[in-house]
Amino acid sequence: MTDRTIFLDYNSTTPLDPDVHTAMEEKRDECWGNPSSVHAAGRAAKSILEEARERIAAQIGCDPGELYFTSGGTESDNLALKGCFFGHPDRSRRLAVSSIEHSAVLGAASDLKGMGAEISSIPCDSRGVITPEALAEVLSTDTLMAAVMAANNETGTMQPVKDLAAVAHARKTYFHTDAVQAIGKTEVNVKHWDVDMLALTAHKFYGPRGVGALFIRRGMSFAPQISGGGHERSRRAGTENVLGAWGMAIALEKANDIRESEMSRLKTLSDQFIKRLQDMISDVHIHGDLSLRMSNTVNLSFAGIEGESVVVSLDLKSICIASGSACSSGATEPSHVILALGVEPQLAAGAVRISFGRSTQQEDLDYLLAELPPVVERLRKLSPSYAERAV
Amino acid sequence: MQNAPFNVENHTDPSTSDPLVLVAMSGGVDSAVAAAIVKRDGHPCLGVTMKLWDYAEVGGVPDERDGRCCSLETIDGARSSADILDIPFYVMDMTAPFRKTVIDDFISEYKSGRTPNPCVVCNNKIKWMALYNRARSVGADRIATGHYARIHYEPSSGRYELLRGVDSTRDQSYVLYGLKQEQLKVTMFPLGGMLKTEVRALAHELKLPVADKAESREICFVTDDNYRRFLKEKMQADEPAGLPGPLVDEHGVTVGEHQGYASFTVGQRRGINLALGEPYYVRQIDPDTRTVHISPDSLLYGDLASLESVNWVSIAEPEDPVRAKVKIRYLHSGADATIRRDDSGEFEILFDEPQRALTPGQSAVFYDGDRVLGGGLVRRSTT
Repeated sequence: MTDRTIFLDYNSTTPLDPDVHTAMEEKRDECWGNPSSVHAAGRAAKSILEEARERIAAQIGCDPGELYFTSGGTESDNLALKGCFFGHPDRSRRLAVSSIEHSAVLGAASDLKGMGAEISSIPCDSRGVITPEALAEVLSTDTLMAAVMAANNETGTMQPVKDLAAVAHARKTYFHTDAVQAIGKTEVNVKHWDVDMLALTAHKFYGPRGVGALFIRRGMSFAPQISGGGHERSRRAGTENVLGAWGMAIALEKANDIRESEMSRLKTLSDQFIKRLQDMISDVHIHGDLSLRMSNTVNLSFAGIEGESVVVSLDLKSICIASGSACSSGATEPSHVILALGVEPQLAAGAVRISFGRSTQQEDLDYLLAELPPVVERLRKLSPSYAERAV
Repeated sequence: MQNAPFNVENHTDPSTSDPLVLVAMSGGVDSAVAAAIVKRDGHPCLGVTMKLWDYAEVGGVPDERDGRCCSLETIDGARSSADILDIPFYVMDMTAPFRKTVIDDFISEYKSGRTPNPCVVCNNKIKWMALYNRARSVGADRIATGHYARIHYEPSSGRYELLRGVDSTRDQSYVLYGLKQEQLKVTMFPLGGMLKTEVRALAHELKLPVADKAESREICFVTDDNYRRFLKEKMQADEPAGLPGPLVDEHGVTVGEHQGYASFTVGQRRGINLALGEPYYVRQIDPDTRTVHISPDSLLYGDLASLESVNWVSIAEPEDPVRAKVKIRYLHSGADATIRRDDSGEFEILFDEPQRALTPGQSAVFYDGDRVLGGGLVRRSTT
């Protein structure tokens, strides 16, 4: 055991950046008022909230008036699908949702199905990409909305959002993208992509937990999903998390400031890691296209063994990685994302995700590469399916 | 994928001087204290809870569910105990094999007119195999559970012997008779030498959140302890075991009707609502004709039981007849008997004195003092 934990699961969450923490500390005593109050304390909070909104809007290329604070990615995705669906009672009830979406989008779509929506699934290709052609094939002439994430949380595969949004708009279909994983790791700009809705959450880019946002294009009909006071221009009731919003703004600015150098550093580390891993261990299957991935994410299976056993074995060596996505851990079902790539179920059940982040250093990967081979060897010895193959 | 057959030949990793121990934690006080003892004795360990079923699957009225094992609350209890003990903790999803092996067997046994003991099936066919496979997959060499039983290695015979727990009121050796030698070899029962009162006291001392948790000794997946409700929900509407059939007395006379033989167990009085002058009890269930044979108490006694799936634990499979005290159900005090081979080569038990309600489907476990010699399932009995 080492004396510290090596965290290689940055796609599940990230630690609060010390600079963000400091910035939040500095604002703590100014922002505790209720932004809806008419008095001085309320005005002070409101001013910080609106500054945070402006700064985040500037980072993603929207107007501050198009950005709505929420409690995080899951709420933003739910709000996008349900707000759009119930905001258009006069339109068709058809929605198209990609097969590799996060459970936040799939769950919201499933809720809507129970309320009369017709949901079509957009397949991905073996690289893990939703192509514009695949989207065009699924869209009807009157599909209300399509949802395709900007980058997949499990494989890291980035999607051609701009082209997909263009295909949707050609059919007068609204386009939502879940940019929770992409933001801070690749350029995210709602104008450049020309999307109608976009979800983000602070804790994926070293901001605080419990705060996120949804971009909604100005002028779009939209039905609020949480009722109450007139917060967030009556689209999301509830006293705003001012300090969280402030932390989110600072975190996003920093993430984008260092994005290019950081992602290039991680690309070097992960390319080397993959190469060394494949040299050391046979029968390693990488899931998703390596050239299209966010360079911090590696998803792979070791033939013949279950991902969960690898995760637990490494955890006992103080190394944190994930099998499937964090939300479905505890269940041994193969990931729907890996299955959608066309990977056979047994190999898909072996998928593990290693995701690098700011504190990841070469020595962490050296340690992982020292611990992994004996774990894989042990598990393969125990695996009847692998023993048969090896003979 | 790690469903390799049990095999200890190469289980020992020579590079590990102090092997890692996997502790099965149910969420109750016993297994939490077992984990505490393993850790206190200096073994590196990890805790694992097996999720065996979920509420959606087993039904029952939500308000009548207590926090019994495998409910989310008890998994949380195991997790917070592991947290206090500062050991890594994992949940293992075993719902699919448990459904296939234990729940389906439970239902099919009732359909066959027998009265199953699902804990025995779970221990024999799921728990040890799954725990040990998981243990090996993470580099652990041994497993520990919170059962009240002891294991003793006897050099003269070279066998691992299974002994009753020291606390005679909690002894669980009855449900463990199916353990194989190679399983006993890698198993630790840290509570075997303790009294329940000592276990509770230690739990308090360690401030374990489950210290005062009530214990449940009923069937874990029948959440309301109403197995008739459970069977009714799980059986097809036209399942013969749930259809009316005749109640036939000791003279072969049909004296009434029952509403499904799955609701009956040999020796049971409940459900026989007839004015026959004296209490009548279930003597035998015949699934082919859906007949429940009943009789006065005096005719429930028999001295011969045929066995199947016999496992010999503390002694090797004997050639000659063996004398033992035999328990025919969990709470039975045991009766003197001879275990011998019958004409078909299986084992049978001849009791010195006739025993009341030798129930097909229940386990008969053979004791020599504290030692469990072996045991098997009652296939048929004579009355």
